[in-house]
Amino acid sequence: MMSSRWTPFLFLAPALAGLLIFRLVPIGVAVGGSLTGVSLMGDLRFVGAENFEYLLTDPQFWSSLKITLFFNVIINPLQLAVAFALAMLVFRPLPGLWLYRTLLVLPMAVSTGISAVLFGLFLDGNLGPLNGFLEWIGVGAQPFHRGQDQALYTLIGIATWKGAGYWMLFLLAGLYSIPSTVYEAATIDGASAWQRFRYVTLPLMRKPMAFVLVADTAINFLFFAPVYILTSGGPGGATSLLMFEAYRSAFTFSDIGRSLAISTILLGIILVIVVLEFRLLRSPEERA
Amino acid sequence: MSTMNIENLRKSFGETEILRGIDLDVGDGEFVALVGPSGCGKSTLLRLIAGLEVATSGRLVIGGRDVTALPPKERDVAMVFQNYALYPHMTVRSNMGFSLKLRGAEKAEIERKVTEAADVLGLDTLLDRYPGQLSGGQRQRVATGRAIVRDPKLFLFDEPLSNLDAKLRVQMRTEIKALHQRLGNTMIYVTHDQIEAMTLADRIVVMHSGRIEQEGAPLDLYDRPANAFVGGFLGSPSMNFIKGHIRGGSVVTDDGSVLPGGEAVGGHEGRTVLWGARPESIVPATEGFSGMIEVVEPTGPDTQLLVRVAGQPLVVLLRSRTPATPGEKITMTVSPSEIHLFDADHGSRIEAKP
Amino acid sequence: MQIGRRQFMAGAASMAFAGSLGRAAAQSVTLSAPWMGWPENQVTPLMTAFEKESGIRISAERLPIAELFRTLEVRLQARNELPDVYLVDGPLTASYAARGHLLALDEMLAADRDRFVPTTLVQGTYDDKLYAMPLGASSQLLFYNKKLFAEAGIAEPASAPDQRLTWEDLLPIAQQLTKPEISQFGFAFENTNPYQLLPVPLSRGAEVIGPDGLTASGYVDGEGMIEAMTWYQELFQTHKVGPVGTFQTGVTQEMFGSGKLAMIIGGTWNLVGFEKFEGLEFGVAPHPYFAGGKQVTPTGSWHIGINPRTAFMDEAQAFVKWLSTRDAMNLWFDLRQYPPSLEEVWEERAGTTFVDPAWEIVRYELANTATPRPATPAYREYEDFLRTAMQDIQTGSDVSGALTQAAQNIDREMRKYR
Repeated sequence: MMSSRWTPFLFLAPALAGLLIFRLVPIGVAVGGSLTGVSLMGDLRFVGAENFEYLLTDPQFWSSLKITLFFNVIINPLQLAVAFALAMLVFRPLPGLWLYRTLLVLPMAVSTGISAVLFGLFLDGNLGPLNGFLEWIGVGAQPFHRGQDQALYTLIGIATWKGAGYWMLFLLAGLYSIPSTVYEAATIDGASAWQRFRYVTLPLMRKPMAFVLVADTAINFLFFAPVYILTSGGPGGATSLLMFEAYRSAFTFSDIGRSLAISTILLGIILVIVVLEFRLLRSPEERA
Repeated sequence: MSTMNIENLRKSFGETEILRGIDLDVGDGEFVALVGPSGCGKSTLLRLIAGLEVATSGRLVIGGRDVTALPPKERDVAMVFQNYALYPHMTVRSNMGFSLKLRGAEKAEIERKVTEAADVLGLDTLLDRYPGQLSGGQRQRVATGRAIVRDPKLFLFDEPLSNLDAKLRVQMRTEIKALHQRLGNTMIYVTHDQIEAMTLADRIVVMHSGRIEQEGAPLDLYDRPANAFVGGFLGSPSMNFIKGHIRGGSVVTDDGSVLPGGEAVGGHEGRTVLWGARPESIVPATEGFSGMIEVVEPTGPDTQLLVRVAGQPLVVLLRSRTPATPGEKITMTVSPSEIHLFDADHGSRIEAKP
Repeated sequence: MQIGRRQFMAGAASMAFAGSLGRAAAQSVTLSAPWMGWPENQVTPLMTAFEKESGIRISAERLPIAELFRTLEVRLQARNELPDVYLVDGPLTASYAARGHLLALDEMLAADRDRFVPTTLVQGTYDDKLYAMPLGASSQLLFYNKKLFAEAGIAEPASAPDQRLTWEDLLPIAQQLTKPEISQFGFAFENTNPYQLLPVPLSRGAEVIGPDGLTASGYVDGEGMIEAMTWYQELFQTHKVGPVGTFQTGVTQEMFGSGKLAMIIGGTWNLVGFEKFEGLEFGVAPHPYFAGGKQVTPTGSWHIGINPRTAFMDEAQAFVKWLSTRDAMNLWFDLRQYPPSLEEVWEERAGTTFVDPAWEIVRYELANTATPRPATPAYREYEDFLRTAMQDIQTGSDVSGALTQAAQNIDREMRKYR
């Protein structure tokens, strides 16, 4: 019989191997690669911090960094709020909202790529039905993803449409895990519906909300497909998120070093923000 | 005035009728236990009183005020839940002070009342802990404390001790009893544990299938159960029942065994009855009815026997360390005043006809 | 789209692996050849003809232009034996050659050099070596819808190169032919590629790249460029004579074919391409220029190159060699009307095909006004950023801002060639 000390590791081995091969090794390769440069003939050489130093002087990088941070400052709280509202609606459905549950699942059933293409058609300036509608009601056609001022918000909207239903599921699970007697206790203690939400639901949803916010942040910092499909970083660089810059560097301009340097910086930013978010959303019990 | 009056209260969930017309009056300061098997409607009745459910019909009056249609907030009741339902994200202090905070009480007042309640319950050192850091008994105390702080017209307890281990349950039972004596509030206590009901309550209400079977002082119910259900429900081990016919002052079973008839047989010659005797009422004797000992269970102070009489098992509780061996024959008797007779068809108690 | 996704997800390496497995199983050799996403009937006949003659199969993967470039980039950067042969956009020769992605063809085509129109060889040459064999030249014409001109009572533009329209002449005509109420536009360029649009600033005398071929700032965002692109933006945003946001060749062609666009600047391939539109009567005129400026037309075309790492060197060379034959070039011309790169095709068709006035214009342009795209190994980067900027300008971005940003980005990506 095998020593029981090793048994847990044996069970964990497949998952750990997966983590190592698919997560940690690529991260290592990326961080290592960010310190290299590729010559025209494809030779790899160590360049130290050169890629990073260059990035600091690169206005495109700073602009992309600003756009990426702004994008995340808006989209993460927005998606969390929308997902929470959706979860509350499913949890305590209003009458006549059966249709809405179907609509909720729809975005999840469509792949990110396809939904971006569909939105491209839907929002199109010449043929898109939405602009047709806006003109009909007298608002006038909007450029949406083709407009420098609207493109980023359009992407935020599309991503929220796509993501909110998914994040809603986690929050819904959280809502279901709050014992109904706690609400009843609060009711008897004299809490109104709003007070129950404010003093019971909200604080008890800290953990699921922290999870959603952290996971959502990590995903949104890596937001890519709709940029690639709809805007290619434009117009005028308005949607040039760092992830798209990293993609372009690697696959369009064969500058792997710059691409990996951007990826490494992204990784660092995500780590810092995730740690901050976890701290922010720690329950008072954990803080004590 | 913390009285409560219930008139013909009914509650249905869809087609299913859970409460089939409850009438109950509770006096000021009274401790009433609602007992019954699970599904009897006792918890639903408590939730109706709390306002967590809305009655289908009937009237509910608390402290002279008709509260049938009022939300819980306006009924001035406090409730202790089976799973305690503490707010996991609040300290003991905040849990206990929550209702006062919602009512807009001043901080100093909240603090004073919470401290008072904590003193009573021995929670003063735990005020800054979170529910997750407390033992089961401590949580139960906090739940009780949260109710005390309110000083409500009515205390409602929904099986508050059933999540505790046996030893702690006995201890907390004593504490609740002491608390009632100290506070003097009106309390309504739901339990499926008849010992809890017997020990705590001024009055026991036995429920079954959405109806009140019998209500009264614990020992009255114990001594004179109104029907076989109440007889069987109260007391542990529970009452023995053997079916037979009344013949000449005795009860004769189908196989011809003769059981003593007791005081109630008068005027019922020939009637088919359930003969009932509590295990502790049956004592060994030189004369009486006999049976075969099948199992002997010494519990320390007592000895519990399983005896086969007239082909049916009979539990006998001997208040002594009686030496007994399985396979032995035993002769027993029951004092006539401790024999209960019930109608074999509808189970209601039979009294001697004058 | 589909391809872009695949290459991105799977990576070039795994594809190469799958590719080599496939070939081991195949009996005859199949060459992998990423190709332009032209209509299938303009591609397959050429491949079939070669297969019939040589027994070598060509697996031509037809990709939209942007995807073609991305796909090639990913596969070439993997530096393995795939693809075997590939289409090279003339100005990209330097980029590929400088990075070792092209086989020098001088030896193989030593005897054939003189058969080519000399200017077509220029763009396939880097460092004095021929790396990519020209499959043709190109030129752009002004196509106009005769019916729409007649209905509006506007005289058709002259076809003689010395009487070509100026942009100043064209604008009022385009305005007359723009009718928003029936979604009809007056004028558009076929697409938004620098290939098509660079003649606009060049006509104003703008320098579009530094003399070293590796400097963008001060040129891409220079004064001439800003003026020219401001004029371009006004076409769409101020005068609204063109459909905004139609960046793709296919869309503008459809619009012209269906009478929703009265004038279009497009390539010679449209001479046959537009025939598919029933009831369309079109005429052609020379490419306009700015009054007082230079007469400039785009040129440059597709070339073919060999991956020096190919596992089927002989077969790949055989394919390129076959493409240089008169029969292959004739077939190619029939399929897609690029001005031929072989002198003998011009001569052979002088009395048949090239009597069309359109071809007279093309001959004139190739000899007099054709200006190749900037010669730089960083053309790919240059084009990518500039195209984005041109699209942004069309949809209303600040002209100077878009060009400055493009210039900075181009300079950044050019540093690796310096």
